[in-house]
Order: sequence, then structure tokens, then C-alpha cells
Amino acid sequence: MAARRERWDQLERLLADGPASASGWSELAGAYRAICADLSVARSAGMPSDVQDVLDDLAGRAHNRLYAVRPTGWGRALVGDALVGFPRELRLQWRLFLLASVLFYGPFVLGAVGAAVDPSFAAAVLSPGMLEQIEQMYASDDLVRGVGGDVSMAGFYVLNNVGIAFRCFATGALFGIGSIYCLVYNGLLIGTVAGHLAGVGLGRNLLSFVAGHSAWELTGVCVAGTAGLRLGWALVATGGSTRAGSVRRASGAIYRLVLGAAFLLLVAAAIEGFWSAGPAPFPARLAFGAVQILIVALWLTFGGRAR
Amino acid sequence: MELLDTTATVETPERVSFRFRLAGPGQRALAWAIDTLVQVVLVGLLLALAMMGGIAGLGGIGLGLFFLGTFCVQWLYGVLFETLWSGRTIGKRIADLRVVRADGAPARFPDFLLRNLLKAVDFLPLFFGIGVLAMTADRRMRRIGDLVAGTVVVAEDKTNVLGIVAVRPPVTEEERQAMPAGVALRPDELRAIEAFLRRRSRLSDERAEELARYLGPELSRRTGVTAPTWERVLVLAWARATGADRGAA
Repeated sequence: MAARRERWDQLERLLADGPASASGWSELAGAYRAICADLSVARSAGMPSDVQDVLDDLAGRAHNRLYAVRPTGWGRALVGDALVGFPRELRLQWRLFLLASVLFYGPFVLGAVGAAVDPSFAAAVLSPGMLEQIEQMYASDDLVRGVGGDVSMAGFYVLNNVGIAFRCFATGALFGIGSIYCLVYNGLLIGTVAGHLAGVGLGRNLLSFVAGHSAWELTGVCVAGTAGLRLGWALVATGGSTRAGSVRRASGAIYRLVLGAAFLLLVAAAIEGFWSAGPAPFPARLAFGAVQILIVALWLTFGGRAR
Repeated sequence: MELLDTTATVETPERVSFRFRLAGPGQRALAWAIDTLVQVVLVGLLLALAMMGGIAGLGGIGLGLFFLGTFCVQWLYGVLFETLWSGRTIGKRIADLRVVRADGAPARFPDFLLRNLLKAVDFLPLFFGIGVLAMTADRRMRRIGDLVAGTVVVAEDKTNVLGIVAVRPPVTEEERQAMPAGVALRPDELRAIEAFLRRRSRLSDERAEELARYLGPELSRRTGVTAPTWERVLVLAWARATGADRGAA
């Protein structure tokens, strides 16, 4: 028992300080195997529970330390997942993506038409103060802000929009209801803003600004909503397993969708901050926007397909 | 046999299973508090940097980086630290906790991304209401982020070997003679009595007797050990079963 005690103390020391070197690591591995053996003996011999607890604890910590290696090539795996794995996954989940899109664009159209046709509609959805602020933002068609302004706005949009999209995803844990609400609400909001601006004659300014990044941003929100719906669906239709098991099976899909949404929104923010606030003339901006729509559509449709 | 235990058993590639101690809400709250403090400090630093940038005439860039930095601190702090430190943030490190996969394997970036993003829903409606609810309902005290990511938070704090459980007062000769030759107790009964004896000094005599009454009568009937109090029955039975009654008085 005393000799064993010594070995446990040695393991304790190894875990506390290091291990610092290659020999330290093989020492740790040897000590870990020894303690696993000790643990089996302790259990079968019915040793007092406090001894077993100490061994459990030591073995657990050694296990975590030994297996806690940083996986190599994780950067490459991440990029691969985002560029290739994500479009593939989105096509697999096309029904939910369609549902998310309908939940978003439906209220969008509703809001846009309503606000354009009836001036009081916008005031009902948004506060008058906010309306005024938005009108001010798009009042002039000269959106040149200089280099500093670009980085500043890009940063703000990342903070704002990606956060909204992440919430659209996370609230899917409420059996999908949170995502549904989030999509409908944001769709309505954005549509109302667009319709209102069109109604007061600022539509061209708005289009000029958002054409470049809308494809990325709106798709990003819909994808985040899709991830939330997938999560909610896993909770609702468990297919015979427990809710936790069903969610665990879906976690790979959910991860790829979330990653894809983050990527889409990141690109949108970059474009929003650097291009959209730039000096390009209106026709060029429309053309650029059209090209973006094409890029997004092609990538999502063909990305990751086997040749 | 652990009905109310806060441990989870893990089968390792070495074919030994050991038990992880699961982190309770108190420990997790402590880790979270520390992490939040760190995040506040970081945002403060970013603000100071942005203001200095503003003074130096960088204005817009400083503000943009501030927004970006605040976003990263808010959403990516957990992901970054847990990925780099194999499941621990600054707060978790101080509180001796670690995020691992539910099967004991180390967790990786996808797990950390999911569980941290879902903090947004665990935080609803007021201050982790849903998260605490989930932790109460789940046997392994997982919040929604953990359930989706397939992770579990374990406590790595060190326990001390308390030494052999003592029998006080020691077994007298008469008691030794009066007991039956062989007393067989199940392993879980042995552990229960040991746990009882380790805490005995913290209990009043009446309370100890009250607790002993849960097991004492049945044990006495089954093994034939008798004593004036149920507590003594448990002690004697344990001593005979483990051979401690043959040691030094």
C-alpha cells in the first residue's frame, strides 16, 4: 500500500507540474496504466470508498491530460467543413431551408408591401423614432465615409447581424418555436423598413447600399434559422430515441449549418463594411449585387458535389 | 448502485471504467462568474484602446475594431479558450472544471462552438432560467448547450485520502464474542456505512441514530448482529465484515 501511495503521489506531481518533456509524457502514460490497474484492484478488493474516490480522481485527470491533444490540421478541417461540408448539408436539409426561407421572406414581402402602400403600417411595426433614424441613414445617396468609416461599420454590422442570426439558431432549442419567431419577426422588420423607405422615396438609396451584401446576409439568416429548425425538429421528432439522443445524432448537421451561416454573415459584413459604403456608382452596385446572388446560388447548389 | 450520486461512469480504451465527478450548478456558476468578469475586463480594455485610437486620430478604425472585438468577446470567448485549453476557460480553470465529451473523450471545436452558441438560449428567460431547468432535469446536469453538443462538465478538484475509517469506541471483547462468525455485507452497504462513519463526527447522536435506523434493523435481522443502538449494529457489522474488529483496539 505504501509503495502504491508513492506512485500515486508521483502521478499527482506529474499532473500538477507538467509533464514538461517527452520522457515526462511516457512517464505519465506508464503511471496512468498503473493507476488503472490499481483502480481495478481497489474495486474488486472492496477497499474503502475514499481510496477509490482518490484513484478515480487521479485516473480521470490523467486520462484527460493524456488524451487532451490538440487535433492537427483543425484549421483545414474547419475551412473544409465551411466551404464543402456546409453546402452539402444544406442540400440535405432542403425542406427545412425552404421552410425557413418562407418564414422569412413571407413576412418580408408582407411588410414591404404593407409599408409601401400604407404609411401608418410602418409606424405600427416600428417606433416613429426608429423610422426617423432609418430615414436619416438613407437620406443621401452619397455614402462615402472614408477608410475609417468602413472598418467601423463593418465591425458594427458583424456585431449586430451575426448576433441576431446566432439567436435565430439558438432559440431553435425551444422546439423550433424560437427560430420560427425570430425568422418571422426579422423578416417583417426588414421588409417593413424596405417598404417604408420605398414609400418615402428613399428606395433607390437603400437598394444602392444593400445590393452588394443582401445575398449573403439574408441567406445567412435563413441558414441560421434552418439550423434552429433542425435542432427543434430533432427535439420534436425523436425517431424512437430519447430527445438527447436524437439531438446528438443531429449535432453534426447542426454544426455544419451553423458554421455555414457564420461564414455567410461574415462575408456579408465584410462586403457591407468595405464595398457597400464605398464610392461605386449605382449601376455598378446593382451589377455587383447580381453577381453576388449568382455566386451564392452557385456555391450552395454545386458546392461539395462529387464530380 | 449510486442512486443520488453526482458521478458519471466512463469506459475507457484501457478497459477500465472510472467515475467522473460531475460539476454541480454552484461550481459552474462560480466559473461563469469569473469568466464574465474576465469578459467585462476585456471589453473595458478594448474600449480604452478604441478611445486612445480616437484621440490619436484613428477614429473610425478604432471604433470598428472595438465592435468586432466586443462581438468576439461576447460570442467567441468560450469557444476560443475551450478549444485551446482542451475544455477549460479561465473561469473553469480556476474552478477546476473541464468540458469533456459525454463518453469521457476530449471535446473538440465543433462541440465547443455549439455549446457556447447555445448559451444564448440557456440564458433565457432570466439569467440562465432554461439552463438551470435543463441541468435539474438531466441526470448528468447538462444544460441545453451540453445536450446538443454531447458534452458534460466534470470537476477535477483533488480529494484527500482521509485514512482508514475508524471504529469508535473500539470493538470490545464481549462484542466480538457475541457476533456471528461470518457477516456478509454487500459492497454498496459497506460503502454506505463507511460514508456514514466518515461523517459521524458532524452528526448529533440522535441524528446518527435516526440515520442508522434506515439500515440497522434489516441488517440485524439478516446477519444476527445485535447491539444497544442501531448505530452500533452498523459499526459492528462493518467491522466484522471487513475484519477491522481484529485490529488494534
